[in-house]
Parts: sequence; structure tokens; C-alpha cells
Amino acid sequence: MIQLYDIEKSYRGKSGPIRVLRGITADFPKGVSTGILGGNGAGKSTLLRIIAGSERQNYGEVVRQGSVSWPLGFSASFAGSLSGAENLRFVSRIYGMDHQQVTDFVADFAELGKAMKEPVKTYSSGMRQRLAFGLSMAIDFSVYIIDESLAVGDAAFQAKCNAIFNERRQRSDVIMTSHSIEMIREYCSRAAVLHKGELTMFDTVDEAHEHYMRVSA
Amino acid sequence: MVDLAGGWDRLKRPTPNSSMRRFGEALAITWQVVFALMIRESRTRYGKSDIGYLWAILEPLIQLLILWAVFTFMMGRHPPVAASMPVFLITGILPFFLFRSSVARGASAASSNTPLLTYPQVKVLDVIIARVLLDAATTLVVALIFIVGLKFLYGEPFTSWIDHPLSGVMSLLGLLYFCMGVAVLSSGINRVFPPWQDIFGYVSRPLWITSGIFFTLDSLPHGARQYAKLNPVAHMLEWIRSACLPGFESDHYSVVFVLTFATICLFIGLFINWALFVAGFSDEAS
Repeated sequence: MIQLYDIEKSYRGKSGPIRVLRGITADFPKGVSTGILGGNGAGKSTLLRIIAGSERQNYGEVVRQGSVSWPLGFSASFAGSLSGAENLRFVSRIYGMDHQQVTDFVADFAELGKAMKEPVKTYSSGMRQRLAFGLSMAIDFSVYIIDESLAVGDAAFQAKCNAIFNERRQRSDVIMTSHSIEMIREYCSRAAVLHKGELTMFDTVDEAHEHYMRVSA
Repeated sequence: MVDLAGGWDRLKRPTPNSSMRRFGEALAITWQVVFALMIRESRTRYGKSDIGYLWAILEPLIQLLILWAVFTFMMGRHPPVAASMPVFLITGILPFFLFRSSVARGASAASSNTPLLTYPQVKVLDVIIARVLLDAATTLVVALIFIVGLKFLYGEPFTSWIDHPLSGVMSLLGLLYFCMGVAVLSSGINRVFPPWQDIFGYVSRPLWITSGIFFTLDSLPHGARQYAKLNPVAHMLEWIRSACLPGFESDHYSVVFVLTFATICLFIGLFINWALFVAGFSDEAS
């Protein structure tokens, strides 16, 4: 469960601060998955990063119960000079997980083989993404944050990502943005529209989509 | 449409656990994170090669040899205390190096770890604590290597390093607190004023001269001593030597001054850290 109280966030622009989020209050109860619709630059990623705790709001409060993932789709923060296995160990430790279990799971899932012992800076971007996705599945988050895309890698690996994530959705909730309304319909039972720094919540994805088409037209 | 105007009243807020339990949990998470950061720092600090750690011994060793040669062979002087020259110099060099690296590593704690700070449980303060603890542990190992090395190569008995064991340990804990305080302040200053890192590079040279690595406050003429006594690092070194070197007890240092200075640094640093957190400040990568 996540609650947002009066969240404000602005960034420094060349001609004064740009207010991206203007007092957002919302409730994301347990058992409900929510899509967030909004145009380019509406602040969807900023909102997701604040929900995830990757970034701090300027004003307001976020209450989280249970663990919240970092925004999937971006690769997790890895140290380039450390090996894949060492990076996994670090993240396992800060989340209080058994690092051997996490490493075994990710090594098997991400199909990295011997590369697990190589420094992450030698990885291709695809390998990094697979490592990050595998790690996010190894940790049992109660809420998964998805920014635009979920599956990574080639078609076969994407199918594997979708399969494991669908299984994970049985017990975890999702808060996501996507360009594809189909994907939001598949994962979410309701949606909200982020427009001009304000968030409007709707009970169904269709209502939200209708509202979004109206304001963005 | 779900109307959430007046959200503070309408949304039911979760009832917090008892505050003691929450504090205990927070402490456990902090230690988990600090421990993970220490291991990570120890692997990244000098690159991946273990040879990098040799530098941690070589740098004080080179300084020791130069100062030793200058004072003994060129100037023909004895240390201003009853201890032998290498023991006297090392009890100044190592604590000073720890102080200097605490300020430097504190300064870059936030800017060189921006990717890590996106993990919600990793705070700037955790990075600072991990860095100072790792530095302190490294310094301790280096000190033991010097003590054992001087025993076998120079015949310096182990007892030359121990006066009153308890006061010795207290002075080293004092040094750790002092280093934490200046590291937290240094981090705070650098986050709002990034040139600080370079400025300290220049400040650390005059500090090195006036901190008493190669003199005691007592051996200075009265006028110079009044100025040297303004430097808290000089008090810190004098405290360590008084507590560790047999037969040396200085009247010129003040434990209260050292601890007060460290506490003021710590509180100003914590305040800057808290203010930046509340304001939602994002650090820029260096």
C-alpha cells in the first residue's frame, strides 16, 4: 500500500523553477494495480521515481507499506568496476536478502553464465538489462513500478520476462506508465491521468483513457 | 472519479508500530546498508587490484622515512618526548592521514555515489559512516603493520606504544568521533558548495605543518603555541600521544575542546544534511 500526500516537485529551469508535480494526493491500496496516463514531459517518470523512493519530493509525504521496486525499464544502479555477482551481493545486502539465493536465481534467469564474474562495465546494454530485470524478480517486492517497458532482451527472453512477471502479479501490485493503453488494460484495473502537474484518479482504465484523450486533444 | 481533495483527513493513515520498535528496525537497516557499503567501498576504492592497498602503507611509510631522515640525520634532533623517533612520528602521521582522508572522502560521499542514492534505503549519511569506518579499519591495520615491522626490523618493543591501555583506547575512539564529525560537516559543505573539495586540498597543507606531526605543543615557543592551540587537530594528536606514549603527558591539549569541536561539526553537518533531505535536493554526479 502506498499513499501520497500533497506531493510537490520542481526542477531548476533556465527561467526559474519548473513545477512538475503540483500537490498530488493519491491512495494506492493493496491488491489494486494502477496505470498512469500522461503526455510526454507530463512528469510521469518523476512521479514514479518519487513513489519508488529513488528521488525525494520537495514537499509532501509518501507513506509506503511493504517494499517498492525501483522503476523497472531503467536498469538498476550497478557499479561498473564490480562484477555482476558483486553488484547482486550489494543489493541483496541492502534489502536484507540471502545473497547466495539471489545470485543463483539471477544467474539462472538472466543467462549470463561466466559473465557474472566479469565487471559490469564490460557488459552490453542487453546484458545489463537482463541482470537488472532478474534482480528485480529475485527480490520479492510487494509493489512493482514499471516505467514504459517491462520485458527486455530478444523475443524469447521477453516471453520469459512476461511469464515470470505474470506469475509475480498474483501477489504483487503494479503502478505503471506505458505508451500502450493495451498493456495498461492488461495489467491494471484502474488508471489515473497526470495533466498539468495534477493527478486525477479514475475507477476504470476506460474512463481514464477517455479523460486523457479529452485533455490532451 | 475518485475525489481526493482534503486527502490528509480522508485517507486513513497507517498506525505506526511502537516508536522503539521502529527505531530498532531503522537501526538494523542502517547497519545492513553501512556494512554493504563498506564491502563495496573496499572493493572499488583502489580499483580491483589488491596492490592498491599497498599505497595505504606506502604513503605514511614514505612520509615517515623522509621526516625521520630530516630530523635525525640532517638536523641531529631527538623527538621532543621520551619516545623513539619513528614511534613519535607515526603517532602523528597516521591520525593526521585519517583526519585528512575523512574530510576528503566525506566531501565526495554524495557526488560520487549518486547512482547508489537512488536506492531508498541508502542515505548520504550511510555512505559517510561506511567510508570513515573503512578508513579507520584500514588505518588500524596499517598501524599494526608498522608496530610489528618496527619490532622486527628496528627492535622497537611493543611496550613503546602502550601507556595506559584504557586511555589509549579512549583517545582512538575520540579520533573516530572527531573524524566522523568533520566528515559529516565536509559532506554538507561540499553538497551546497562543491569547490570545497579543492579548497580543502590547499588548506590541508598548512594544517599538516601546524598539527604537530613533528613537534609537541610543549616544544613550541609560547607565541607559536598560542596559534597552534587554535588547531583542533593539534589537540587531537597531543591527546593520542599523551594517552599512548609512555612517559609523555602534555598540559597543553584539551579533550573538551576536541570533543566540542567534533560535536559542533557533526551537528552543523547533520543540519545541512537534514535540510537538503527535506527540500528534496538531488546531488549532481561529479
